[in-house]
Amino acid sequence: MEFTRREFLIAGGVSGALAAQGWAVPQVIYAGAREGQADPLERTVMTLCRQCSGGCGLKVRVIRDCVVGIAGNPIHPINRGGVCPGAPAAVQSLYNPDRLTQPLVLAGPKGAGRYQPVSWTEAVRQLAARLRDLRRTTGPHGLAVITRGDRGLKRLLLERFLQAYGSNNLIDGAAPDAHQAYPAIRAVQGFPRAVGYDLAQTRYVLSFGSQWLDAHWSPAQAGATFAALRGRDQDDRRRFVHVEPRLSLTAAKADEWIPARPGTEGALALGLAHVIVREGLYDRAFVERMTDGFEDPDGGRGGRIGFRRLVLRDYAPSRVSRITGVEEGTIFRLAREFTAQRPALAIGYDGASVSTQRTYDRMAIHALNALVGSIDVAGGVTHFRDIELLNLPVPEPDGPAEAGLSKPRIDVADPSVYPLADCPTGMLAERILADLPYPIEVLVLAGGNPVFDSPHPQRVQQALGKVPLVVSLSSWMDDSARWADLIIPDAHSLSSWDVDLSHTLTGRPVVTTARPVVPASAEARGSAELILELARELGDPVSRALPFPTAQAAVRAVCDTLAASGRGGAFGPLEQEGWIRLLERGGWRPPAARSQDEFYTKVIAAGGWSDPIYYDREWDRVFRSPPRRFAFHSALIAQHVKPRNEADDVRCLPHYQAHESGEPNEAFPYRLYVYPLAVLAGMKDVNIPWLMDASGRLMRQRWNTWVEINPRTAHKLDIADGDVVTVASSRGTLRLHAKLFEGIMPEVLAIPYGFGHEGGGRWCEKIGQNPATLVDVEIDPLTGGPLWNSTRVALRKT
Amino acid sequence: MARWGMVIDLDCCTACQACVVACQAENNQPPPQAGQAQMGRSIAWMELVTYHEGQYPNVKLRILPRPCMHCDEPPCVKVCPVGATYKSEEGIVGQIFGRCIGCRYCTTACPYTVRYFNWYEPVWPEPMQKGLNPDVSIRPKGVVEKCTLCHHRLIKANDLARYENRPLRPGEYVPACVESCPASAMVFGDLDDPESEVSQLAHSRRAFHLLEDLGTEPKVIYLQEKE
Repeated sequence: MEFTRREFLIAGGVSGALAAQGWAVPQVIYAGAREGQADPLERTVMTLCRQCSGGCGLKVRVIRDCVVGIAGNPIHPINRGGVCPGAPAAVQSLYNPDRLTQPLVLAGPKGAGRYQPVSWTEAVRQLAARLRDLRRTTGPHGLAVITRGDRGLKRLLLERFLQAYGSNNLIDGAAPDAHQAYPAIRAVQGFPRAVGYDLAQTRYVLSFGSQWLDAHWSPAQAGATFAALRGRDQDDRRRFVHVEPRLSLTAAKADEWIPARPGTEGALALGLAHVIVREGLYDRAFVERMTDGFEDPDGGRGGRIGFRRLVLRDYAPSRVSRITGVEEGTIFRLAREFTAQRPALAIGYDGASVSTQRTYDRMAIHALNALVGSIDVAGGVTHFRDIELLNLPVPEPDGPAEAGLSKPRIDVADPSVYPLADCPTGMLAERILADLPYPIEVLVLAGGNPVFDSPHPQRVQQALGKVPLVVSLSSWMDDSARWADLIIPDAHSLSSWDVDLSHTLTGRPVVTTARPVVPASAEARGSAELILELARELGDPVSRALPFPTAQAAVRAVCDTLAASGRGGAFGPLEQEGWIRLLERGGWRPPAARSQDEFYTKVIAAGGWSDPIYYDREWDRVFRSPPRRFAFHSALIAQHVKPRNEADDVRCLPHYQAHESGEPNEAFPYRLYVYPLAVLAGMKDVNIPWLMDASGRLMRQRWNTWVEINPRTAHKLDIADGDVVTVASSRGTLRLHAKLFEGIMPEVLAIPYGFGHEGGGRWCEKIGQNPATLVDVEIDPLTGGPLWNSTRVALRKT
Repeated sequence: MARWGMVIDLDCCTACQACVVACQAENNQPPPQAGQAQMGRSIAWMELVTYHEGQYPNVKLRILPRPCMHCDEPPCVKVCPVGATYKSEEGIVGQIFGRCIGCRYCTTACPYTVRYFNWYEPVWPEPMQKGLNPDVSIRPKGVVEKCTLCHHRLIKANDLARYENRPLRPGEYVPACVESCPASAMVFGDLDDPESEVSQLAHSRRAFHLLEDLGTEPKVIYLQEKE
């Protein structure tokens, strides 16, 4: 039904006149105000938010193929109608003048920024030709794909694509926020995925530098759980204590802020463990039955040591106080508070923030949860339940693919040196530059912005300059795309088919579906479409592995797999969730749809699927490594270390290590603390004026980068608020505005991370500075991954 | 006749600024420009206000999301020489953009500084206009604008209720900021309805008004545990 302006005005005028006489108003004007009503003028679509990795559901208001408003999907289990600022701002990302709308081919030297437009079909053809060539010549392992740690359709298709093509190099997490806490959990439990913290139901939260209100991986969910933690009346208000060198938003919202030196959170946790063990405050039943390595191995023969004796010997509050700067009395008090109310939770850095905590620190923090028995119980640590999204046989590799798959991944550190070699993309640039373990011929940037996200941006630029073909799928001419040879921009998530697997903090799986709300242009299609088209161009065996004509068909296949699982159902109100939970607990299948078609229609209309059930204390599921218990003494590390004496044992146990860079000295007297800027943290698209404007508000700063200095430090150096100062590390120097701030430790300087892009559009380019250029990384001794906050810096007034 | 008001629970608020951006999107507030923004001229009807108190290590950071208070005794209405601002029967302090002559008496009179002057011509570079909300008019340079409690949503909800021949239901009219809040820290409704959640919370012992002693009788009520 088409309306002309004239018809519209007449309809409006008539209805107004009728209404004046008490007649019914024709539906035509405000018909969209009623939920779910089909109308040519206005409609509401439930879809997925892709602004960050949170997996929220959106309710999008569309008028005549224009998105004019975005709110939360009220029945989505993750956000229940709420959103973070990213969601409403997605309108400015969708209709952004700087968004790339056509593939570009480099026309000049790399990095110079001269490009020529080509058609989408031509771009795909060129890339396919190069990939076909690579497979024939040096081998398919020369292809590497960097993603942002997505768990969506793109990821599912990429996995199958690379398996069939013959490369192991699917590299997660170019962004620091994608670097999750898996390694520590894997070390002590063998659980292979991230965990959740059931903050809504816990009685006491002790947060070690986790900044979960500034930069959570799922901000809307963090907000809702915080509100639940607070309760509406005083009787239900639960205590929340936050440890961090800086008074972050999280610290400001906590009941108590405890400043501790950067990188010493692990020591503090061990100090608490000392008090808890010494005063016998721990959950004896849990520790005796469900843990391993608490007592000395071999009964202490041969000098062997376990967790109990290690913390009692090495982490007395007096020593911990000297390391962390936290008063001794506070350590005693925190330990007693933490154990007084169960369930209590100790959380480390969780999700979207620069990684500052060593895996040993994370193990120490997590050990506190084991001491109070908060593992896999309501109000404790939850373990995300899995769900299969695609039920297809593993692609059968042909000759070249088999050869390619036999090669090691390029991003994995040497496992003989690093027992938990993970995904250290911070070292990826170094490895590419050194051809370790073999040269990379084609690098696809399928998410993230490694030049901006990595601690040594210049090295990443050099690495991108070295790889013969760099392909960017970014929608922006961002810091990394500027170094690409070929840019095939992704369509906006509001104009593509997609699915996303996420979890509630209570551990329940949530699959959100996305469908095109507004049409994509023919020259900027979704990445899923690109992967499918590439597979078709390459032919067998790759095309056989991806038997979907369109991305929509792949979404349909996911829905069919979910329907066949016999679990959960389409999103619904809370009552419906409760009903499904009741049935599933009773061993019944929830009332699924009569046909796969009906199931698909229901899921797409509701915006997704979830399985609302979680079983506590599923020990077999959550303790996967050999002792099948919580391992204070990590069996996984022990496999590499083969402990025979005390020193080996300490390597398997959570313990504190001083910064490799050493203590601040005369040349560099301060410790640099880089923190993720609330609002911008974890955001995929940053060229959004509303978000840029909001990000500095907390510190009353606008569109610029500042360095936070304690007034006592500033006074010594005669620095006033707003002065221009230089901050120098061994790697670089930045000129910044000084912001005097009482909420920062005197020996620490804090710089927000999120500004200082070299590309990406008019609202983020050349705005502020990127502190990553100052960061001197330290390598995690267990994973080989980079740690950001051990840099020492000097401060000077200019 | 309803008396619309809002409760903001600072104990639950996480200062995520979803309300700030949801308001900007709903009400067609122009994209801020770097240079203008640095002069403090970007417009956000709902804004985060922060206060730092104390000395290291005993520091408090207090954060308030601040919309228009929709005072029952609004100082801004009294000073407008052209009748561009008014208080409606249902208590909403509105602004008729077309009548405003940009004298800024009201911005000066408002003790909460929630009235915003358009210092520069708002620009929506192509294709950003596509995302404009057709329910809200855009404002030219030289005009003062402010929170209208998403008045256009009330008009719509009223029309629908009238069409269906029934009274307006609670929760049918909610401003964009309240709708967006992930922590449900904001509650909106009729302050005169003793059954409504908002009026019950407004009488909580945690309740307080901003600048209470000025006698402006704000209809935005904050909740916070005393220390």
